[in-house]
Amino acid sequence: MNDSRKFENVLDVCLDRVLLKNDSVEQCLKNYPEYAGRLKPLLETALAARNASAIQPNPEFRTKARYQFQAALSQAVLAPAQKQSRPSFNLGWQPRWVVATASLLIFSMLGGTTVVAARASMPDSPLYAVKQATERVQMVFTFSNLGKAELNATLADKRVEEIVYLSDKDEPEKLAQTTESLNIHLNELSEHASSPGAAVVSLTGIREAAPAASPVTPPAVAPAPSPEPEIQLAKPAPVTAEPPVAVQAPEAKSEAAGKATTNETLSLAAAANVSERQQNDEQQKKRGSSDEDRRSKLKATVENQADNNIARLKATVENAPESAKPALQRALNISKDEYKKAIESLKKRDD
Amino acid sequence: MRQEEEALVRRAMQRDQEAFGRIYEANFDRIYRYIVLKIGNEAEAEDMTQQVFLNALKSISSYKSQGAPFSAWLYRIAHNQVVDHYRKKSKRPDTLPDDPPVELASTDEGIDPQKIAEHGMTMEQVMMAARELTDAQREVISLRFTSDLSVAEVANIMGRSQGAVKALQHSAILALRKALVVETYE
Repeated sequence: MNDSRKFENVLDVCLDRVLLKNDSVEQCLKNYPEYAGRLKPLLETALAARNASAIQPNPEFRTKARYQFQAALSQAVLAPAQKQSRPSFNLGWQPRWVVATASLLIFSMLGGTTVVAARASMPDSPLYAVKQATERVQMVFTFSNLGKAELNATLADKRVEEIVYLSDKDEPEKLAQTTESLNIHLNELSEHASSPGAAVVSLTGIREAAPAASPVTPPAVAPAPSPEPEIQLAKPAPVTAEPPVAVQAPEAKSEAAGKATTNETLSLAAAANVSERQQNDEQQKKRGSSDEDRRSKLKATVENQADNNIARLKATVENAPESAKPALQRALNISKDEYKKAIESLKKRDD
Repeated sequence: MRQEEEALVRRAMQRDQEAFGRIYEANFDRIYRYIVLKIGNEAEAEDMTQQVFLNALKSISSYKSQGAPFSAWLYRIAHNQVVDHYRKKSKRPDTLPDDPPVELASTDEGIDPQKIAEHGMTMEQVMMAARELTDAQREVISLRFTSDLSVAEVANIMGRSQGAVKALQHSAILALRKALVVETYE
């Protein structure tokens, strides 16, 4: 073996030690004194470059990406059923301003009865799709990290309620999906709770909140999404030339949901929550409630929810049919772990 | 460890949501870092990272283990994504031709390597310096610096011998250091 090859081998061994096993450069040099002079600059460069490369994705992007992936995953699982009867309306590729404006117009014309009714619906209800769409829009139009953390806490609480409801319904798929949704909400609660509280205006649009319903392109030809116009809520563009559009719900079994959830109802859900969140934000400002107060209240709420929900899930696991126990146990484990993380995140920000 | 991963992948292939979710969480950050380092643009890397996982979701049923870790398959998808990215842009970054001859024993004199680290290198500096590398060198650096892959696994992903990857790794770090030193002191 020539010297060059020997050196490449030694360098590789040392890179493994320094980059993967956290050995120091000096430790490695001691083992190879004959190459120390050549090794040192290379290892230091590699280490410095690796450390500089150890960036984390933006938390906002990570949350959004996880949500979209989860939606695509749910849709992939349900794909066969949806292929049979899913209506053709698809929000995914509508320009964002069209969706927002159309939603607002439809809301102003129709009122919010269906949305209100959907809020109490359970995963086996046809109105559940409306509930999910509503929640997505709520999330998109909640701009601050603290607001998102609060919303995720509320939604996690709802998911536990639904999991308990599903425990004796012999609906393993829905139970698994709801558990996964609980996991996401609690994860996001932690992430937003540990992010800076300053408002992060991110008009990502309803398209991001909707599932990735369109076919996924194969690796060799996968395009990056093209930029789209920002939402202009203050001065909506005219929509007279555009057809009504709707938020598409991923988990909706269209044979059931199709009867009750039309384009308009889903858009109504979107608009209702835009309005509701805006009103809430306004009220929040009027009350003059500081971020610290909200944070402190959120911590108390989450601690309370953790105690209650973990106790409820424990009891549910004990009384559930055998077939539902593994899924419920998973929900319980997630609750234990993720509530703990969320509370720690909220405490860390206090310190 | 590998057996656990294989079991997880098998479940993911059966469209088990939890399994795919765990794979996603375990690999998301490093795939993102790999793409950032390859294309040098964080915003575009975000879109592409999402697409990698959507593509993986779509293609998981055709996955075959072949002895490599599952992440190797994800890196291949990410690599294809990067190739396609440049193809669509109809231009490549300003790089040298692939694998030029490298003078391995030169250029060390007069440069204090400690100063590179002391300057507190940023990701931007690394991305700029990485543009001076060949595609193959950048691929090796990206894989080695953003993942826990061994040279054998990198060789598997790149379809090259381990010896070739070690040589590329050596020349890439040398070239990176040259570029960083120039950048730092200019």
